[in-house]
Amino acid sequence: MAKKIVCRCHDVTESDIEAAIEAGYNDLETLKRITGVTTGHCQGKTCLSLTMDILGRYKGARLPQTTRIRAPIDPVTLGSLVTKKETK
Amino acid sequence: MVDWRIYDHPILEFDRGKEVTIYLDGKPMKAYESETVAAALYANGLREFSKSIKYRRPRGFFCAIGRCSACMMEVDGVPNVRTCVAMCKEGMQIKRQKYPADYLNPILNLMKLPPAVYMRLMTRPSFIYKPAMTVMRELTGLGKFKKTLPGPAPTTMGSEGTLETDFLVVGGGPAGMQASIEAGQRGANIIIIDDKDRLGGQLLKQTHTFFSDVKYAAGKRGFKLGEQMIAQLSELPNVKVLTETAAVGYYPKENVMLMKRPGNATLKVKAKKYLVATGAYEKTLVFENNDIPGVYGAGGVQTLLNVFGVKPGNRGILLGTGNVALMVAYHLIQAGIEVAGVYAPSFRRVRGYFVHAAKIQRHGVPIVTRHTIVKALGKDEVKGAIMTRLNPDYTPAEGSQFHVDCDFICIGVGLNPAYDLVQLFNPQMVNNGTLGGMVPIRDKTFRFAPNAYIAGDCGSIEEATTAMLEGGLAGLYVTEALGRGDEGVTAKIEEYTHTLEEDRGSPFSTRLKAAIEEITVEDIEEVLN
Repeated sequence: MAKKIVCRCHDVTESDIEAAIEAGYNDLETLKRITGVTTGHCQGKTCLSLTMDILGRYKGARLPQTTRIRAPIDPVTLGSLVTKKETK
Repeated sequence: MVDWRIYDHPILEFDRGKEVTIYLDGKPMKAYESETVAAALYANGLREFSKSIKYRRPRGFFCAIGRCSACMMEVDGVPNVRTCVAMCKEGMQIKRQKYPADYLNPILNLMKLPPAVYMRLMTRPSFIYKPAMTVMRELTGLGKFKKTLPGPAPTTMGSEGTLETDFLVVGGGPAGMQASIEAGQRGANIIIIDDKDRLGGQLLKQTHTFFSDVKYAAGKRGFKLGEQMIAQLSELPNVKVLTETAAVGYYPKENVMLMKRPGNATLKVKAKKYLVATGAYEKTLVFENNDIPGVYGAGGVQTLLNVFGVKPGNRGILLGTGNVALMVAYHLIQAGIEVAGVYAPSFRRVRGYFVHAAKIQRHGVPIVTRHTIVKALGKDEVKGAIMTRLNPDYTPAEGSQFHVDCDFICIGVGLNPAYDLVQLFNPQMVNNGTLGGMVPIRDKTFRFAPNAYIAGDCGSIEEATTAMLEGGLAGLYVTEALGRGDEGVTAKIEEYTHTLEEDRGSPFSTRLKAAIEEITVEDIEEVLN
C-alpha cells in the first residue's frame, strides 16, 4: 500500500512519473499530458517542483522552464464571471 | 470528548469568538466563529478529511492555506469546498465525499496495475471506451452536483464591476504591507488585497523574537510587528484594504487584474502599477506514505498552532534544517508539544540561523543532519517514521534505518516562490536553486514587467525582514514611477538599500547575494523585448 505520492490531486506516484519518462515522455509538457501531474485542482503548487526535480535527475540538469501558467490561477465559479452583482 | 485546542499558551492569547455548532455527517461538533472548518474538525479529533481520487487514500489537510487540495469536503451542499479556508458558521453541515471505490479499493489494490498505464486502459475496442468511462466515473471522483437545479442565482453573486487605482498590491504579507505603507504615506491611491480574512500573511504566525539588526524589526515578535503594520495601514485613508480577495488572473492587453471576492463574486481592478508580493508555497518531499494524514507542511502546522491554537499532535518530528523547520520546532515547544527531533538531509551543520538552532537545542531537541525519512508508518494516520542516514552521495546508507515514534511529521524543507501571478505578466523567468525556484529577471527597482514590481519571497526566498525591506523599496520606487518622487523619497530609498545590504551582508548570504545580482539587470525593457 505504501506509495510515494508526487501529485496529491491526481494521485500520481513517483514510479508513475519514472515509468513515463522511461517510456519517452521526457519533458514537462508531455509528462503532464500522460500522467496528469500539475493539472489537478491545485494547478501544480505541490507537484510541479517535485516533477521538475525528478526530470532534472534524469536529464542531469536543472530545468530552465516550467509549464505555461494561464488564468484563472485560483478556482472561480462560472456564475461569478457571467452574472452582474446587484448593487445595494 | 476530545479537544485539541490550546487554552494556555505562554505568548499567544486566542480570541476564538462566539461558540457555534457544526455538523460532520450529522454529528454535532463544537466550533468557534473565528476558526476555519478544517481547524474546527481537527480540534475535534478528525484527521481524515477526504479520500484521494484514484487510490482512495486517506488525506488530511496539508498546507492549511488553501493551496493544496487535500481538505476538500462538501459544505452546506456545495461540493469540493477547501475547508482550510472556509470559516465556521452556526449549523454548518459538513459531509465527507464518499464513493463506491472507497469500499472497492481493497480489491482494486490487489490488481496491482503497472504504473502509467491508466491512460491506455479500456480504449480498445473503441466502443467500450464510453460505457467504461461512465462506470469508472461513478466509482470515484470528487464531489457530486445536485441532480435538481438550484433556484435563481443569489444576488450576492457575480461581477462587482471595475475599480481604478494608482497602485495595486497583491499579497498582504510583510512585503505587501510595507510597500503600501511607504507608497500610501506619499499620497498614492492604493488597493491592497489578500486572500485571507486578515492582512499580515505569515508574519502573524511568528511567535518568536526577530533578532536581525534591522532597526524596526529587531526585538519584536513577528505577530506584534504584523499587528503594528496593520494599524499603520488603517490610519491611511488612501489605502483600501480588500481581504478575502484573491488575484485570479492578469490580462496584459486590457491591463486589468481579475479577482475573486467572497460570496462567489469577482472584481476587476485597473491599476497604473502592480506589486506582486504573493509569497511562497511549501516544498514537499517524496517518501513512502507522504500523503497520509499526519504529514503536514511546516506552514500548515504553524497556522494550526499559532493562528487557531489547535495542537497538531502530541509528538512530532521535523524534516529540514532551514529557518522554517527550526522555527516551527521552537513554536511547537512553546505550545508544550514534544518534538522528537529535527532531521535534515543537509550535510552542512545547520542551514538556518545559529541562534534559532541553539534555542531549540537548549530544550533538548536533537538536530540530526545527514538523515532523511524513508517512510511514514501507519495506515489512516501517522504512527511513526522510519529514518535513515545518508551516504555522501545522498543515497540511504545500508543498515542505518531506525524507527522514530511520533504522531505527526512536519515538512519544512524549503519554499518555492509563488510565481503563478508573476508569469501572467509575461516576464523572463529563470530557475535559480539558491533563490528557491522560478523567479523573474528584474531591474534594480524590482520591476520585472512594464508596469509590475516584485518583492518578498515570491522574488527570492529569504525571510520576513528582507521581505519588509524589499517591499518598502518597491513601494518607494513605485511612488517615484507615479511621479510623486521627491528628495525625501530618494533619501529613504538610500536608507533602505543600505539596510538591505547590511542585512544580506553576513557571510551566510554570499551565495544568495550573488544569485540576486545574477537575476538583476540594468535595463529590464531590453530583456523583455
